[in-house]
Amino acid sequence: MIRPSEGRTLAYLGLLALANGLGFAFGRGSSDALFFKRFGVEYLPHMFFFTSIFLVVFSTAYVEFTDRVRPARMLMSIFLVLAVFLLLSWIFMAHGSGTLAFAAYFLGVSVAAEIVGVHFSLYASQFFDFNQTKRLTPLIEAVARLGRVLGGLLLVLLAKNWPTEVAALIWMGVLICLMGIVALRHRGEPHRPKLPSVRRRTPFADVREGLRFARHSPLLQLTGVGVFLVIILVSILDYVASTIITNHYQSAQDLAAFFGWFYAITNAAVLLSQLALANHLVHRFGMKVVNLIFPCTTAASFALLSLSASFIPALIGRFNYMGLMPAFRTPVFNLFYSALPRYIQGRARAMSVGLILPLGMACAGLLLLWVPKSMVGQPLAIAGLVLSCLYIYIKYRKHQVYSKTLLALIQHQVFSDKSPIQGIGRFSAEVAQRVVSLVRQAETFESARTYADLLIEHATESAAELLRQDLHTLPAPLVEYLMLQLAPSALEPWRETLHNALQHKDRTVRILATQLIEARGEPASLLPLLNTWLSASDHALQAQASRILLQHPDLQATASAEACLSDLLQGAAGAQIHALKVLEDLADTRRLPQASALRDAPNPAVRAAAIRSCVVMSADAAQRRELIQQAAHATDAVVRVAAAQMLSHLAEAEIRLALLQDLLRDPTFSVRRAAQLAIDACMPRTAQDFARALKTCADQFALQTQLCAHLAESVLEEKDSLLIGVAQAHLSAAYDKKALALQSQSLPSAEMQFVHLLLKEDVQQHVDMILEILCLRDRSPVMQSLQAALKSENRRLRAQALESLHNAAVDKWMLDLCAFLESELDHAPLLHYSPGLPRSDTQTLQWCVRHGSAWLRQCAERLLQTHNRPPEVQGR
Amino acid sequence: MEAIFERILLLKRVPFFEILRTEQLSHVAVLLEQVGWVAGEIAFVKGDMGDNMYIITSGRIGISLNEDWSTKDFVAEFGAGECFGEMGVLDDLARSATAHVLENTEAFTLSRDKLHGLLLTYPELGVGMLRAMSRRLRQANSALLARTTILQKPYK
Repeated sequence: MIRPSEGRTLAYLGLLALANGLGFAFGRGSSDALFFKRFGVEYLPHMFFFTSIFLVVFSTAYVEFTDRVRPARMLMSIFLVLAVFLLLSWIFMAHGSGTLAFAAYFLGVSVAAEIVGVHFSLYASQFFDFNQTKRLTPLIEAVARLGRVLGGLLLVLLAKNWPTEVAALIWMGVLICLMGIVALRHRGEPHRPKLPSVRRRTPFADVREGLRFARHSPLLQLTGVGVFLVIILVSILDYVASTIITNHYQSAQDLAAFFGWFYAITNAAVLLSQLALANHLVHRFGMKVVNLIFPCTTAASFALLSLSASFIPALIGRFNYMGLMPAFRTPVFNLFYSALPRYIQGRARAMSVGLILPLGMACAGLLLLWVPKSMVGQPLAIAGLVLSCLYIYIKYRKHQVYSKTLLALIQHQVFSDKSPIQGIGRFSAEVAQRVVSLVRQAETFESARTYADLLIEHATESAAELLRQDLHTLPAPLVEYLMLQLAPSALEPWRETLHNALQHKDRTVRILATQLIEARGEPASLLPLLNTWLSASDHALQAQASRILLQHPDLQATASAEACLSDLLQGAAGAQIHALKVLEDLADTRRLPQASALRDAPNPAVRAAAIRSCVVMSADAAQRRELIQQAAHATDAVVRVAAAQMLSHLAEAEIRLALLQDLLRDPTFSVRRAAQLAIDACMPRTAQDFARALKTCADQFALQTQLCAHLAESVLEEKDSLLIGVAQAHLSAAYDKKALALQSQSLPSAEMQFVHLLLKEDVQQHVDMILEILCLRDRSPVMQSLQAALKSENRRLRAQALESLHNAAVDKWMLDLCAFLESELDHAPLLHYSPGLPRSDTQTLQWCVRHGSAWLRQCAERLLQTHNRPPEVQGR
Repeated sequence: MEAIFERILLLKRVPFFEILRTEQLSHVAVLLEQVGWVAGEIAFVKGDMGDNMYIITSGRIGISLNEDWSTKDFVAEFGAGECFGEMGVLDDLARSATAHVLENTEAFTLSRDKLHGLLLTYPELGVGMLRAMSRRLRQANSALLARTTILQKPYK
């Protein structure tokens, strides 16, 4: 945690924090005891009121000076002013006749605590950069808290042997020492900043802008109400508890000794909680629960005081606001600001500290002044209890609003919905004309298609006009592409364009034109042309003409087409393939023997076409299954491609997916590609089929993703439970693999390093799969933006997404997921023990063969083979 | 360990390819061809047309921008796990530098056509390449800045 170069600076700041904490424990304990006993605890409400006024005055003065003076010099100045104030306080308290000095001492300590706290943070931050500040500030704060523990213990010793007023003198001594230490550290430095100070915004401007932002931010509104309520509650609790405790002790010295013990124990408890408990609770239960700890303990304190306004409930009440508030409220309170945009966070804090804090204290003071003295006890505690319930509700609502605000912030950062943009973006005539000329000038088909896509999307009429005008000059593939893309909109004069295309020099364009005219229900207009195609030398034209004419009612045309098709089936391989395609399109069961006759043709492409036709024409499910299974295991890749294309014709889901898996692993790319294209058509239809398929394909991430996507799209009732089951299985596998990856990382062999890499990739794919399933379950853009945020390289954004996911977690497995993601994304320690995990290299490889993904298994099998191979004997 | 796995491990350490998963890298690994040079040789000369990029498996290569290819003032040196010659493959222009073999060097070579095929198959490879090029550019900027600072330092 501490880097070598930071040791000296950290020791220096730690010493300052320790001494400062010690001094303040002295000051706080003695000022409380002296004020309560010598001036009167009944004047505490007056003090709340005056503290609020003095806070505003001194904070404004501090802000005015802080930019003009170096932080070190400012710190020494504050210490000097405080030391002089303490000396004067001691003189007047010890030797004066009135009691006003005790009130002044009390007020001074309250105001100084705020100012010194703020400036010390500013002073410490100048030594570190942003990351160091985040890492080292908690350490410095812990040392300061230790100082308060020591200060409390020393106060006990002092109170037993000397008058309590001496505490002010001792604190003054501590301050003089601190000034010396700071002066020593900064000796030789110039007094003024080197650069002229930039004119800063005034604190009032920050508060004003914070208020303006709060008008639109429910989170900030609730935060404001919450802060105001907590100040009122703490003031009531302080007043009631202090009154009871003051009455319990006879003298100021006894009271000071008690406060000494109390500060020592309370600060030790806070220190322990900050070190060991608070963060753990936030991680385990999330802010949702930790956020409610302090409101609930406050309500419990008031409930105890309502039952019995005696010493022990008062002690518990004081412990609540002095111990539990810094332990549980402060860390969570600061985290809430993370849901606000960065530029507004400072202003929101300024509003909270500069406006609501003094306002709350002033209101609390006035309220308590108005309360009759006879009611300070159980009646006031009951009022506090009612207000605490309101506070709990506000905190509960605040967390709800916080979750929504955080999600909105994440969405704003990572996700932009395209829908509002779709309406915009129609090309003007000028732009469309420019894109048309780009299509004409494009050198490659890819670029021409890209420009054509732009035209089709943003200026469809221009695309249709381009096709009509340049039909015979544009490259044939582009004409084909434009015809297919523009067919659904069929902008006039579409019919004329199609009939022009029948005269195109490229036969593919001509065939496509006949298909599109047929699809429009106008095949009669093609009859003369098709009759000429039947006697053409081109097999593709013959086949196309036959296909259309065989479906035509004209008997003479049908007979000619039949004769042409028979000729093609008996012709060369090319002709046979075209004819078989016609049979496949016609899907007429009576023609099955014609296609079956070519199943054993010597040319594999003909066999593939024959199998396709037979599968489509066959009415027998068993026959179809047999045909596809044979094709899937054929030696020729083109036949296996046909099997992949025909998978959707298989009735049995299990066989369909088993064959799909085989084909997805095929060594030939074209087969794998055909299998990938067939995935959609192979999906199961019933819940049982899905469950079985998901189990069978557990090691195939791509297929599982497809299965889950289809399952989520389905109307099956069981889909939610099935998806959760898959996500849980992936999480469990991810935990095991992560543990194994960490274990294999320490093994020195290159094989294990490779296995470590493979395991890490598997873990990543499991995580991706789980997040994908969460997105599929919750189709809102919120989950998609969370997924994107979790994959972001911005650590802060990832933390926000994790927090949101934690807020949304209702099941244990989701909490486990959050813990896992935290370890995966931000290297948090992973607590996982699985007794079945292997120890040795061989066992690890064997485990990977059993539990790995398809790729990991494949690699592990090959590594095992080399691993188990006996070492080769070296010849001489 | 099998050679293919060793190649995958090597590719995973190359900034250009680190973005790809090992399964995808197995398809890249089979496209690599082995080449080698003896210390003192020149891998390619500034102004040549370059069709290949190289991934060093062992040895060292020094890169010189000097027009005179025999001059050995290196602006960068590359060792095992680093690649060079990728600019010519990406922008189809002549080599912008001369690559001197400083130690006996073995490398894998990947041709322009194969790289373009890979880029079409795995578009994410483009992101990896951009990242690696950006890193190179930053290093070059830092080196330039350092040189400029030295030149601007007043003589004492």
